[in-house]
Amino acid sequence: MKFYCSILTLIFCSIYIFSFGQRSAYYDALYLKSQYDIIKSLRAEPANKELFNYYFGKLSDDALEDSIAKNPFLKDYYQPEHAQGLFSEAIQKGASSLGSLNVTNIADGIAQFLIKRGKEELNVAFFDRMKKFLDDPNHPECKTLFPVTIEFLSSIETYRYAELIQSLREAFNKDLSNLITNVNQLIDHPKYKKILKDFPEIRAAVRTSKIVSELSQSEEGILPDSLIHELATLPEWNEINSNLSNSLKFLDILSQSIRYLPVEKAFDTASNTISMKDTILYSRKIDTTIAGRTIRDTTIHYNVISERTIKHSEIKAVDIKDNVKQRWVKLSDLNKAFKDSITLKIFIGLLYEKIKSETIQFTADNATIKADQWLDSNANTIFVISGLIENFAIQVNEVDRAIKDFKDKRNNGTLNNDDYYTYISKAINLTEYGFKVANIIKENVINDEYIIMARNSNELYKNIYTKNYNNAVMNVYAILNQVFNKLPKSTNISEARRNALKSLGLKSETIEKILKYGNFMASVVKAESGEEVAKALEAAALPAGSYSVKQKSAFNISVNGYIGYGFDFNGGLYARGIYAPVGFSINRGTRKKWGSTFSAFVGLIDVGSIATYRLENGATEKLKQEVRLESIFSPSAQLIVEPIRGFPLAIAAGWKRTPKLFYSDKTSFIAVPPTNVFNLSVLIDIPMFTIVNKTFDKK
Amino acid sequence: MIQARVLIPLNIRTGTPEILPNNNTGDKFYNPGDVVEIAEAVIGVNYKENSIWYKLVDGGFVWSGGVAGTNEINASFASTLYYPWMLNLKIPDIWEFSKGRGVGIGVIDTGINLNNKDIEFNKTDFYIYNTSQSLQDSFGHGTHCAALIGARNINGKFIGVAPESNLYICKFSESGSLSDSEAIRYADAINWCTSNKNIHIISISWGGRLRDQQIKQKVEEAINTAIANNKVIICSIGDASQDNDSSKRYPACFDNAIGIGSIPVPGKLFSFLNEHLITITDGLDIASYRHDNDKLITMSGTSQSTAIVAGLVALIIKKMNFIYTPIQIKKMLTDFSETKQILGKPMPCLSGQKLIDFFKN
Repeated sequence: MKFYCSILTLIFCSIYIFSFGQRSAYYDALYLKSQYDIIKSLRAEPANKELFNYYFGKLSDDALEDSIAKNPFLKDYYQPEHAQGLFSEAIQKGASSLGSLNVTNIADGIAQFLIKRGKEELNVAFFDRMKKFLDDPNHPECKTLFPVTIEFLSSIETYRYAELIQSLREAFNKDLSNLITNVNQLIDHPKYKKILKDFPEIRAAVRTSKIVSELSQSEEGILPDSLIHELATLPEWNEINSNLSNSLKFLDILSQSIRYLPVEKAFDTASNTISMKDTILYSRKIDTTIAGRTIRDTTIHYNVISERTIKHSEIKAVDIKDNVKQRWVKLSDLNKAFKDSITLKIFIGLLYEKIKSETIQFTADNATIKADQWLDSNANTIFVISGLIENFAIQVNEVDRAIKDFKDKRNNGTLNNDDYYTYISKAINLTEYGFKVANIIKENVINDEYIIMARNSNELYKNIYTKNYNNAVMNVYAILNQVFNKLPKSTNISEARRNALKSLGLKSETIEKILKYGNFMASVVKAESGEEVAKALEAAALPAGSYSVKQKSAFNISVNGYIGYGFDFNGGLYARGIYAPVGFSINRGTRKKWGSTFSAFVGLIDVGSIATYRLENGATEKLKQEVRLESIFSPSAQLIVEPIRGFPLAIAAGWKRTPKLFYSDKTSFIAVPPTNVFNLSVLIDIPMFTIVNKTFDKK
Repeated sequence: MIQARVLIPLNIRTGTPEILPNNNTGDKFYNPGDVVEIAEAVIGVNYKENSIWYKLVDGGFVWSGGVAGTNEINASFASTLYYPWMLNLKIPDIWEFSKGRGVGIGVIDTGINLNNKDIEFNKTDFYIYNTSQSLQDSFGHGTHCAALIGARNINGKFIGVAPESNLYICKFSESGSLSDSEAIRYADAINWCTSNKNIHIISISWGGRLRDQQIKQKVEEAINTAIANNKVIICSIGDASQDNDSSKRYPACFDNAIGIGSIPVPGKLFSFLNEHLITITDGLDIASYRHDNDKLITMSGTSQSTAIVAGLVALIIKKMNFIYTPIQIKKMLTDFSETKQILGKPMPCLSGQKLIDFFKN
């Protein structure tokens, strides 16, 4: 389940990272348009063979021309009769090139994201699940994933969680920072292979982490567009939800289609040349305006003799000066290009072929529509498609700008959380756009559940990124609730998926518990003072009325507090008065409407004795009380009955050992030794944490 | 580098090998008896029927007519005076026997640059698909191919394969493509050529699929009629985007046409390969005239190969004193080809040696 949550987060949050391929439909459309301007027809030639192969697949020239003639957007630009021998200097004078994007700090962001995602896991009651895994010999893989945490958990007692939470958190951090490595080690574990088979979500998570790991280990680090491309091609998405998978693919294709291709990478720095193999040579002077490039035809000498290479030192100099770090084509350039209706149609035509070749389709209400069919149906209302592309371009340009600002500020040392927020918000808008597109193509293919999940996942990413852990916990809660409680009830989910989700056995109360513990831990992690820890505890304590949970439970173990008045049977001073023990309570409720709840309570501390002894003993009245650990350490064993269901009144009787109290002034020191007493108390029940809760079986 | 003695007062021209008011910087010149150091010979502006210029080691150009020993010098620089494809086909050698004088060549294409005096053509007898259109080439392909066939080198910049042939311009398109229905213009243009008794060769550097069967039939009929009227029809076999593509392009793939391909260059130039391919020759980066000025531009493909072969056929027909048949010419082109292993397969490659052997005999 944790992986499910994580992978959802990864899926939806990673979409802002861009795809990387070998081509960009934007440039290809411009190239073909320039060819069309000359020949008045689209045709294959060696120089553009790779271009057509990319969109149409490897076809003979006849088959390719047939495909072009059938393409609803390109058919108007195909003529069957051609002048031969055109592809040379006449149409290949300008230059544009392929290239890879610069390394960005997105890689760092992803790594951080994974680590923080792990922190989020901490917040969703990671202790308990990890402990169970530890105790369960069927889950040896935990030792691979979280070796430090397991070692730590093994060395402490459960009740010390609270006091050791900071140390535990550090242990988690250590493991999570190595999560990618650990996960990849896990892949080979026999037990894990079985899990991989049964749960595509987990499989996808592992594969995603592997991709990130491999990319991050490359010389250039994670190239964001290559990451999204890798993610979009993971087969596991189909097993989760084919619409999800296809919307990712669609978004990936859109992203690739308007990817910015910087020029400088096409150059061999040694020879300062561009070769035909890794560049596309474009035609005529119109290329000088492509994507705002600063290359001018006049600065380029095209040497047709020497193996069709471009040699001119000025080109490189210009590009270095240009040094654009954008990932996508600028909106203004795109708009400029698409003002030309032929270029726009060629662009969409190429997109159409690519989408067709990927077989992107969406299913809803027992009906399926292919994305290319949708494009085809809008061939005469092309503004619908162009609007979709334009909106996407607006989104990616926003992200581009945000990334630029982000990097500038980081370089300037002025980066703050607001900048993170802005950056991620832009990315979120882009993420959601993928689903919007899918829903435009076919209504409701990505239903509300997934959109809500996506938003929550995105918000989660944002909150983790901005270290807003409490909100992150809320996001997790929303995601889990959506996945395990609402999704199985949806009509848009397969029976297999529904059963798979159910088989994970997560119930509403479990998810509620995750919210509670997660919030508590987030607050503790965030706390910078004792007061803040107290507030976190206060917030994490069960709300008023929570006593009723155990009154209605078949079996319940909780960290419990009581406060009330106690009478001691020893006639001594110590046990009479305010009694406020905190400890573990084992409870058994009743089915009956007015039945009683019986509890066995093992107390560890009592904060009431300090006050009681002071109030009752005049000798210590004027002395300064020293509160040591022993002052509140008061083990006790009580049997408690809550006679009235629906009311937190508890009557307790049992043994307790009073705390050791210390009083002093400048001249004297009094130590009140602990003693064993038997007491009877009337108390108010204040449950704090439920550790185990088992409801009555429904009959 | 070759040293040569100057015979007459000789200006040094900068920039380009031509005589301009401002390209004799500082009025630099050589006096008779001076020695110049020549780096290479180039084709420049034609001056007193001589377009060969010498590029000097120290920069600048001098006209070859003012230098002693030009024959020897030119022979030394033959490879730079003529393009490699010309030398491969031994065209300069063939010109000693024939320059195609009197042979009429109909060039069915996109028209001609009316303002290039180097390209002489019959200005009263031409075909145009729409009489309201100008014969002026607005695209470039027609001019490039026509000049390859018959440029006269009056400008001193470029000479065609058959510089003394007669060009007949058949403009059947404004751009580089035709639609299905417009393909009927093939037939119209061929028929016009057929009706012109002065045309011996029809050069068509175009190709297509002729998807309209009725039009396809009419084009084939036009070709058959042309053949019946002793016209040699040289057609581009078509540029393929990859090797080993046997797609058929028409009119080259009609039985009576002669399909011409280019020597393939991996990644750059391929021809369709089928049974209608008669011979191949160079087609990569072939320079010829532009349509909008008198400068040169390179194009690559079977169009250029076709134009070269059309020019060669003009030379052949002249050599044969106009006694020929299309079938005979087709067979000769096959005979003049030698099989070469190119990209792992045997291909009929036009042989300069076989050609010159023919002309010498």
